[in-house]
Amino acid sequence: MAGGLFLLSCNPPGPIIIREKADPCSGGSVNIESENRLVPALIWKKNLRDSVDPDPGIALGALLMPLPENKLRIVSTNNGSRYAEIRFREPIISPIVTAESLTVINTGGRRLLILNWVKRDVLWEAPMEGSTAIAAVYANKVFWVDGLNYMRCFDINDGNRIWDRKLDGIDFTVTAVCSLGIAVFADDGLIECFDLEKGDRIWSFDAGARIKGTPAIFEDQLVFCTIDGMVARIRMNDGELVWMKDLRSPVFGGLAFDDSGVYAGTIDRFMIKLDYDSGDIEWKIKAGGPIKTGPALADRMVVFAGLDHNIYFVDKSSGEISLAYETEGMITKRPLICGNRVFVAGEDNYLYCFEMQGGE
Amino acid sequence: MRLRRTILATILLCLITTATSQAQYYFGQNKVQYSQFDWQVLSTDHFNIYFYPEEKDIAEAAAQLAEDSYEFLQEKFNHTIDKKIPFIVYSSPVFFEQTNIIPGLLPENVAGFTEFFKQRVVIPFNGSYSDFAHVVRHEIVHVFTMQKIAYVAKAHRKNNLSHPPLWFTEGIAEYWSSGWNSEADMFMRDMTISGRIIPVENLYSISGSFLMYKVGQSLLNYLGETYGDDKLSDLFDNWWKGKTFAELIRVTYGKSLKEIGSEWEYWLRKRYYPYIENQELPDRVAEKLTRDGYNVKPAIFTRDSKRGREEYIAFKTYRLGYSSIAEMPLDGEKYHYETLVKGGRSEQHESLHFIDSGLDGNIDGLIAFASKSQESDALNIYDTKRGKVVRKIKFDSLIAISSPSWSSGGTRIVFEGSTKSGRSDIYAYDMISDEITQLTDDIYVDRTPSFSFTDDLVAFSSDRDINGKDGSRNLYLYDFETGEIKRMTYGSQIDESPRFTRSGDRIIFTSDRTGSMNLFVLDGVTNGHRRTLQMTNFVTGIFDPVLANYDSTVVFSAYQNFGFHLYKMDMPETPVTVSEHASGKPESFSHAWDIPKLSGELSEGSVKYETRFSFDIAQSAVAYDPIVGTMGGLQFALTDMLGNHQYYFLFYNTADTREDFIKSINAGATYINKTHRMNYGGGIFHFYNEYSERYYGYVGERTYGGFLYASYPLSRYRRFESSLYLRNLEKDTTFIAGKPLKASTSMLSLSYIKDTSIWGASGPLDGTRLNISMSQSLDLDGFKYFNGTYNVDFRRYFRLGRSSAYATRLLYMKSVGQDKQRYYLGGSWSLRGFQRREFYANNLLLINNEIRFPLVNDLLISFPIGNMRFQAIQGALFFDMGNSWEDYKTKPIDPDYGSNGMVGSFGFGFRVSLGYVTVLRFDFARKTDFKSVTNNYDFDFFFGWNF
Repeated sequence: MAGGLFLLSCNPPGPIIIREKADPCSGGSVNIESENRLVPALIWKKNLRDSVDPDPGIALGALLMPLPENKLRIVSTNNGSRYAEIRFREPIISPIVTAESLTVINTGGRRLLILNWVKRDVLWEAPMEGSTAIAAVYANKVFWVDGLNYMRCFDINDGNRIWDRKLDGIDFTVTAVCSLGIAVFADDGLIECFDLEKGDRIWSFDAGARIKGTPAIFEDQLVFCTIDGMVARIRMNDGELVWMKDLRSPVFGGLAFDDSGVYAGTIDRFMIKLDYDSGDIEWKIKAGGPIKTGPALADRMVVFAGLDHNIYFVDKSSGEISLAYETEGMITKRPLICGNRVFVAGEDNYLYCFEMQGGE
Repeated sequence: MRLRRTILATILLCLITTATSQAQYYFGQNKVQYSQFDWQVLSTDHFNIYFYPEEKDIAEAAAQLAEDSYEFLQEKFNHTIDKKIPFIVYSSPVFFEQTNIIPGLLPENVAGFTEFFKQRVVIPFNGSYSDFAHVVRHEIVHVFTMQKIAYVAKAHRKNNLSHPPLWFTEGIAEYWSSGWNSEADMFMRDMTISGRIIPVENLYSISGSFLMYKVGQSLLNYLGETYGDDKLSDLFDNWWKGKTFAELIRVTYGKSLKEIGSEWEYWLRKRYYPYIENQELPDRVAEKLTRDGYNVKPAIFTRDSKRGREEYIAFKTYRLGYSSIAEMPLDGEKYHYETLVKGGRSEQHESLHFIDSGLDGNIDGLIAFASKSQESDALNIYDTKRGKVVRKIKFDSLIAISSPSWSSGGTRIVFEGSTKSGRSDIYAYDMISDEITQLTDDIYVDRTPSFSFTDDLVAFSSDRDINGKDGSRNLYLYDFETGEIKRMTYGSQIDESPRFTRSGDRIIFTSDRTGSMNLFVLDGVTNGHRRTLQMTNFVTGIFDPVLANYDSTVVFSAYQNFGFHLYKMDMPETPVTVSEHASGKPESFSHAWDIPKLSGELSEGSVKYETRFSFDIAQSAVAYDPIVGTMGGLQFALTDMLGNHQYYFLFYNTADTREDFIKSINAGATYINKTHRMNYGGGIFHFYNEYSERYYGYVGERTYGGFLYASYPLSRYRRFESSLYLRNLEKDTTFIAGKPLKASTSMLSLSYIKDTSIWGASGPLDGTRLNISMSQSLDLDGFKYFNGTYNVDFRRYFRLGRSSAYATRLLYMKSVGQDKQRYYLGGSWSLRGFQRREFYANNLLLINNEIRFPLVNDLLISFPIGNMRFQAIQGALFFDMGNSWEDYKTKPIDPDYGSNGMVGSFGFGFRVSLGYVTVLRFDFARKTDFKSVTNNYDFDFFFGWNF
């Protein structure tokens, strides 16, 4: 993997967090260097007795899972045992964004809470003004768009304002950030990229349609998908389009990519791998139901889940299904990865833990 | 304590009446199970299709369409359904109307429904596969909607999520099941151009109407086009995030419902206002012939009059809550209007198929029309000179008939007929030989046939072209001489209602090829050089054109200003457009498409239907008594998937102390079998209650036993009912001294019931209701006569206007025997002005007279806590008379038991309809003994429908 940045792909609509070093417990993809092919196997499953919604987060060996009745449950990635449960005044309405011991939580579209989930302390909070947008965290900064259409950048530790900027588009709900800037995606398909330090606009790009699934950033490249089925790669430094591909079906769950390729799951049931350089389709496999969640990348596997109740582990190179594990309910939340483990919260109220175990 | 007894009686009544019949007990119309079906179950990945062998093709098509819909909708809703969805298919609306899955009578225009408790989808096949595909998907959208919202609620532990408004529920079902077509466009064009767009916050005013479906679809179209379908998926995912639908809209779209509605209105105006520049409105270029109600399906017939032989228009009209056939001269109803046949009033014409079937007149003044008579349709010939139906023809092989059309000679009739298997074809009937000939025999829907003037050709509209699978229909010609079918028009539009002109080489018809239904002429029908001439250019749409005045006048129905009316205009001399048919277009026809059938991999085969019971309804009934406090009870029902076998259970306890618990158990179980025309069943019960009443004083009453029940409907409107009760009665009373009354009795009762009533918002406005009942009880100790009852209740409603009527009731009740029943008189629902149950005796006579009239149609009052809407406030003027008397020597201890002669009352009242659930009645009455009149008005109020 070239460069020092790691990309993180997330799922619908999920936060993008870029780290300078790989943190195997921060969600998204990990690169597990392995000589031997690893085989996924279920090692435990835990009945949460509730369904997780919205998307959970992962950090420091813990899973942070939003549950009904405004609860955030923190469980161990080791065996699923409960560490703690925090209850808020309002429901958590946006996917959990984590930065080691800190997590950013949008409660009820009213308040953005910066929470030290280890100590269970709210460090500071900011008004969201009705926004359901997902925050992003990078280099000790937290970024979000509030209901007044202001892009805000605050210091995550002390809550001091760094900059803010009024946006031109409408209904910004998704953000993606790397060292080159922060990109925000408007409901009408407008993408705007701002400098991290001062908030100056670097470039803008009209994607032509709304971007629903969370985009992915890898090195200096941004890949996103639109609701009309277009997948595009643009350069983060100047916003130039590298390629655009029509998948002919909406991608709701976001996508993931690394140097092996770009992976996107479509509503018409296909998981598609695109060539990183050209955007050409390398393979596509059909799941048993629509794919509402984005994939996660682990070792040589792409992991995704469908509304057909199955969790799929697919070989990145060949597109062959290594394991299709059937659960008792739909799966609408993104898989999370920590080390050599994959976690999936199912709508059957179970948390599934798979481990990549030594193969041949 | 009396209240308590009333509550118990009410619960018992509910138990028996919900069990026994949809006939609403005492009165009510009947759902008649004319046919029995050998039910099978076809199992697919996501559905269990219930069907009978005669409709196997339809069931397989349903299976394929349902699975296709499932795949489409799971993407739209981002949701899967784990449990197989029950899907019941009927091969005809005629059989569909007999379903026991829901108890109520199904209106004729119901194309299918999704039952909410077991989420059963129930759909009839109407002959058209494209219509069928639309309804299948529409109903499955409902299943997904219900399941998705329930799923979101459960996942977020929310029990009080808002229900979607009906316009949204039906709008999204239409949006995701049918494309936007000329019919939908017609309603929206009219609403927009007439300047009467209904704001989204006022859509309740058209709730339940067909217009609401189309307005809802238009709103969803707007949301989909503007914000994307994925936002609709988000809306369902967000359902837990708002307490009201308006909040959900704001959370999902970031705008208020009012803002969205305003955007939609602007979108409509931008879309439809430009049409008015180049197109016409019907009332601007044609003469409107009808004034009131809805008027469709004109037909021309001739009849001798003082001025010689004249042409008249026969047509269907809906004005007073039922459809009828009426006639008027060519100049319109303002010169003469006469109702010829009333539909929905008798078993002769249970339905006239108002929308689905046309009619036709001939040169002898005879009108041919189809009507539902008992189970199947009949072809009727009405003689306008004699003023009656002179011939009624039923065909054993056909269950449905529509759109009959005369030959020019007036001896033959062509029509569309449907068989039990659901096939729709064209038939010709010879009045002289009494023979029927089937002209087409295939899977395609064939509609609106008509003879040529030479009687050797029949033009009809059919979906047999490849585009027909998606709902298009073109014109075809059947040649009697060769039996060949030739194609006349081409394209993916609806061409229908062809009528030959006198020249024999031209056909007028309607087509939506320009976006709205307009009048066209097909020229050169037989000479091969064909041209299509567009004769009108209406914004909205016209239907069923017929020619009069030697083809110089065209009469048609058209939609404008939210209504259908008849119009006439001179046949335009200059066409709007002319299109030449390309030479070489094939006239010959080969079957272009096949019935969609379930592919093998999805099907798990079919098995015979087995009766398995599951909960249908379970509820704890709680009643509050101001004296004894609350009382709770449990009611539940077990029914099979088809609703043919029904068990009802009731359990509650009336004990005041722990010691009384065992003896105060009240329980009942009832079984009803509805598989046959005669519904029958039985049950067992044990009831104990303590109460006081004027005749007996304190009463402790224990009753237990069993009963058998049977109901045989003669038709939709008339039935016999009978029941046999074996009952042990123990009655301890205060006023009747001595040992407690104990009796083991058997009671046999028999009733004849007739109900042709038509209801308004607060009660019946038209028709007749009659209940004649008698019962005989035997004391089983020694088989002595115990008592007998004889009751007659006759009610007649004379229509005075659309929402006004004169209603009268004559009620006579008599009880004889050892333990006579006492009937109470007085109160808002019997003799107004007098106290409730002021008189009682074993004889009762009551005569009510009431004039009902509308005061306010719709009243919305805003309170700080929200709005309260009152529908249909009615006024009443009444005059009542009554008498109650004992007819034997031993009079009750109470000296004021009876009225001791005729008494009466008169006054006025108001009735407020509370959402069609019940009616709040206020009465102000002055009493009279027919010698003097009280000075003051007595006020009373009551919840209940008008008698």
